[in-house]
Amino acid sequence: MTTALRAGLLVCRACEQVNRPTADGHRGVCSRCGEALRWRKPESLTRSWMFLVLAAILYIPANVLPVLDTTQLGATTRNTILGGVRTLWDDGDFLIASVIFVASIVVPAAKILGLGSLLLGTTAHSTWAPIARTRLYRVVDTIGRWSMVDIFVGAVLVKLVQFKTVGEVSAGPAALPFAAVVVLTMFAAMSFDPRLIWDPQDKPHG
Amino acid sequence: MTDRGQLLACRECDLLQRECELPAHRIAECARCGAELFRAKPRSLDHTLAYVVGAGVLFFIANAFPVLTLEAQGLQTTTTVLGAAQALYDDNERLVAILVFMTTMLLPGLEIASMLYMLGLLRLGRVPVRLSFAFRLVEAIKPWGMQQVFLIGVLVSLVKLGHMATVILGLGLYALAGVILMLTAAEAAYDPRALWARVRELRA
Repeated sequence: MTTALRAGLLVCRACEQVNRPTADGHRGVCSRCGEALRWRKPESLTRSWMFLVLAAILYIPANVLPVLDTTQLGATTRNTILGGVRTLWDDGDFLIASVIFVASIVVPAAKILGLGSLLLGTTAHSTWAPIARTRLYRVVDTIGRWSMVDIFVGAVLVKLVQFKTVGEVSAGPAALPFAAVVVLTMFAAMSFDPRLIWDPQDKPHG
Repeated sequence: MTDRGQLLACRECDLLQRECELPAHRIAECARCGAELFRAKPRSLDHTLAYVVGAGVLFFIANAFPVLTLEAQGLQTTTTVLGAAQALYDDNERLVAILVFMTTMLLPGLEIASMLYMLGLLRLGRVPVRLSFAFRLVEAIKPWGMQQVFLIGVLVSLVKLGHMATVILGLGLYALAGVILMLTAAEAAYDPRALWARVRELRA
């Protein structure tokens, strides 16, 4: 059992073709699809940490500030994400309330904590439980986009609820940081190279 | 290095392995970390092309017709997919609006167009110009297509709005569900290895 890295072979990020370095030792481009070849994703840990820290900071305004402002008969209600969930719950929409709670609050937090622990372990060259850590990466990478649900709900409501008498809805200051958390955690997951979890295993005395 | 099969490396743990013949629809998993290496997909390119053509037709309908219409006190408001992004833009949430536009419309549209271009021409027996670019574009776009998430968002809005007014489902909503089904089927049927094998055949 050996890895592409130890065999001195470069794997294309786009088409997965296994390439040899050029005769003069450069990485070169993929012989099949032309993508620039890298041994590992460039600056994987640095970039992933950076996106993650930014996401963790923005997670605070995303949850503390109001995300939707509803104006009814001259009175404006400002709802945070959690406030929106509570309103749904009080209205008896338990399923929808749970969906939003999981997608908007649990998933981003789980992504930040999950990626954070992956990054800590990998930065420390841990050889502990690589299969479980790889699986965690797969989960984090897959669930990311689902947090966008609330942004889409907001967009639809802002468009549709424009009745002077019944009510008007507009986006609140949390919309931007919230969307940024989703995008930044996706960038963080994409920048992370799961092969780094395995590299310490492949060292002779790792 | 014998002719026992193409070398491939696991994308998650980098273990070098050799491709093997698989019975239809079976999955080859990495011997070390268990990630999916590849799947046997019979007639991958034809099936994918068929789904992508379907997705392309439905994409136009999904974007041309209203998704939801709201009726309250004799007044009506309506939204298309683009309308939702535009409302955020007009509400001064420009960046969020652009993100919504890209993830629900621009990027899925680009993905469908690139797939049609690659697979359509290969089907006609020609190697598309800038094939590599189109291929890499599709790979880069995939994680950012969020039509499924948008559909869930529309359904959640439906429930929220149901309390205050009459909601009418539009043709765009059904077409959007169709696009998602077609694109999911296309991504499941798509095997890049088959694409490159076809290119090699055509170039030989």
